[in-house]
Amino acid sequence: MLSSAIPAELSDPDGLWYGLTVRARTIVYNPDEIAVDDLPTTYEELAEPEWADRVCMRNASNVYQQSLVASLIEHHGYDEALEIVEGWAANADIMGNDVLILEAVNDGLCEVGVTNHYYLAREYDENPDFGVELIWANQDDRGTHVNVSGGGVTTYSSHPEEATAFLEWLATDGQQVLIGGNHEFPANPDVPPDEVLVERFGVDFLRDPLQPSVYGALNPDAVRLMDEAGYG
Amino acid sequence: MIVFRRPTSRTGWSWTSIVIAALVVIPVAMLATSILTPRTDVWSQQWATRLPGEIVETAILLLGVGVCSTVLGAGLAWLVSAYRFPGVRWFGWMLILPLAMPSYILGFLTLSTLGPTGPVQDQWREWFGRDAWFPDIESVWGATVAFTLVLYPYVYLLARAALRDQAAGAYHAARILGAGPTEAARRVVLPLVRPAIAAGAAVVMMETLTDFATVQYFGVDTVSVGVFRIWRGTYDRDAASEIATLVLGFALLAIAIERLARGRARFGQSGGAGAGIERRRLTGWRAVAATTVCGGVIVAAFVGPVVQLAVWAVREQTSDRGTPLLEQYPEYLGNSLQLMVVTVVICLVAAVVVANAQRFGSRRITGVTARLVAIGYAVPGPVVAIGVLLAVIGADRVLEAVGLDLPGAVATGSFLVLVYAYVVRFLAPGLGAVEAGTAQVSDEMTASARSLGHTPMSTMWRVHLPLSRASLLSAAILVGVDALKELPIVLLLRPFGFDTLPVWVYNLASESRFQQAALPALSIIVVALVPVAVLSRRLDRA
Repeated sequence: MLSSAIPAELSDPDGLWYGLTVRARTIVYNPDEIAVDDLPTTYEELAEPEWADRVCMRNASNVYQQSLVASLIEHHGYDEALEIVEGWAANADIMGNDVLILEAVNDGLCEVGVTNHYYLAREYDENPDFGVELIWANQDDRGTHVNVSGGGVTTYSSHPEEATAFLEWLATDGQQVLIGGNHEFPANPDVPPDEVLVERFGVDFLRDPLQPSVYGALNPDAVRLMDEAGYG
Repeated sequence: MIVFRRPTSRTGWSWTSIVIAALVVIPVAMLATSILTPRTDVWSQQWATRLPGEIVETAILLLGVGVCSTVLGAGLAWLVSAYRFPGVRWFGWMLILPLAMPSYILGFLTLSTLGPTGPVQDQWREWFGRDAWFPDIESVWGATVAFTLVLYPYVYLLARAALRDQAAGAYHAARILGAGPTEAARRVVLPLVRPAIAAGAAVVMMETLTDFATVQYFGVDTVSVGVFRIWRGTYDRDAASEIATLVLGFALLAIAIERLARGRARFGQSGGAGAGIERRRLTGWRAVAATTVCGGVIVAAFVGPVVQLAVWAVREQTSDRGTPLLEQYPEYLGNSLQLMVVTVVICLVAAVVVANAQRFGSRRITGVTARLVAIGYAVPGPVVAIGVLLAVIGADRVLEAVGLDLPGAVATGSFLVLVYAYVVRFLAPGLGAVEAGTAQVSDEMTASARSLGHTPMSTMWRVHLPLSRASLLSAAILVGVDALKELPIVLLLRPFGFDTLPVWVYNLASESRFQQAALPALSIIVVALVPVAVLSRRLDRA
């Protein structure tokens, strides 16, 4: 039942766990600082010299930054990914968390940034006029990088049937409870995302179908790659 | 002196003491020995990339915080001990309050107000234009200031006690012999209190070294952060433990610096409360300056942050989405308190045993074990956490080999493992305080009790413990405050789903959800304030 509710690209290939909510990592910008036509459309573009000192990104200790780099390794191979991250390291002002990045973009300290989508939605909750917008990255190729929050049943579970039933509920009727207020995307495609996402971001976008287990396995390489690239 | 001992009881005390010391030393030793079989690939990769920078940043931060805390702590101690100026009575105890403020809380407050996107810099840019220069807060310098403001009280406390107990008589003698106040301070007082200041500075550096939350807020890449990143990002425990030995190296360096700064003098708290240095009255601008400096430090390190947190907490709890916070609150608070109480009780019992074993057991053995127990405090939190995990995994394998299979129960982060790590780290300050108390009971008193037919156990209960009640309280306070604020150990070892107040604050503050982090942050400070207040009252009274 879980495998029919949750798309395969959001789950473990062996069914050990299932994604329940989706977090998209994409490009945000300040419309007062940059015209939509001038925006970078891919993560890779942010490594170009023209973006020097114009972009804010997240530090290497962060798991979203790590998984984004891991996905680059899968798509481009280690050497090319290294070049891209070196470009980022040269261009970016590297910050401690996504909210700082959004505030910096809002303040005009950087024209564009890379953050998870729901942080921006939360800023809109506080202030609907918050001066940052987003575009979905890499729409002309593989799609926007996404992470999942998910669940599985542990080997030593004393109530595996109940645990499975709970997961099944979370994947269906419980989806609204899971995403209530946090602006993540439901993993079940039959469940509608919340209004802010529909109205302000648009929810019909291409997602990178790379499975989390694939980029998860590459996470150690991503950490080493950022070490090598001198990415802060 | 005649002491009657039954050999069996004497060996019992020695052995118990040895077992306790072994439990503390084994995790540290296992970590240290991991370096004997180095993973050359990891080291060459790290050495070629991040490690040199991390070592430099760690060194700069350690020295910066060490020096600044020493100057500030010792300076303030001298100011309130030797002079009278408006407010000095209040400042005397208020200057200890920042002890209740964890560095990671002051860190995120500093960043959110003075950081690049905070209100201060927003206003600054409005006045002077977008490219106007402003000091880089997200830097090793910003972190140095934040650490100094919360850690200087360690130096301040020890310096004040030393000034009161040890230096006052010598100062007055020097003055009577014709030395001016400055000369007397420089040539007589400073050498006398130097060991106390050095000891305080060593504690300050240990506390700086153990942190990896505050430094991350400030974007400072220390070796501890590197260990954390390897541990969490590459799942490579061996590599993380090997890099962690470097943190251990820094800790040893800090101790070496203390020994060096202390010179040949030893730091010991003398029992009798001296009359203190006769205070000179400051007038005019000097008085204003003294009041401003003391007041400024208290406002910046404690009052200001607490007010800001209170405002945020009220705003969060009265806003529409403030409710989910309150639901989890009792659980997290309960976890924190539970962990604190269990740690305090175990540390006290172990400290009492080790301290009393020095009376009842073989002196040669128990003297050594007491020093070994003190190792834990010199080892930074992340190192203790990893060491304990290595030890527990080892124990798990041994159990499995002898057929006692406890599937996953021991190794995968149980509450007991967490407590074990806490005890390894915090037994030393507890033992120090208990030893100071036991030292006040003379050997003759112990001997009298024994010759009147009391067993060691009964002597301990009926003579030693009642006479060192105050020290037991001190021990509980020191261990309790530290355990309550502890973050790195709990982040690395906590059982699944086990959150404490510091973890909660760390998670929220890591995402800049400062307003939501305010209530738990305030709770940590309020709970920590109770023991700190007891401590400051005793300092004042003495």
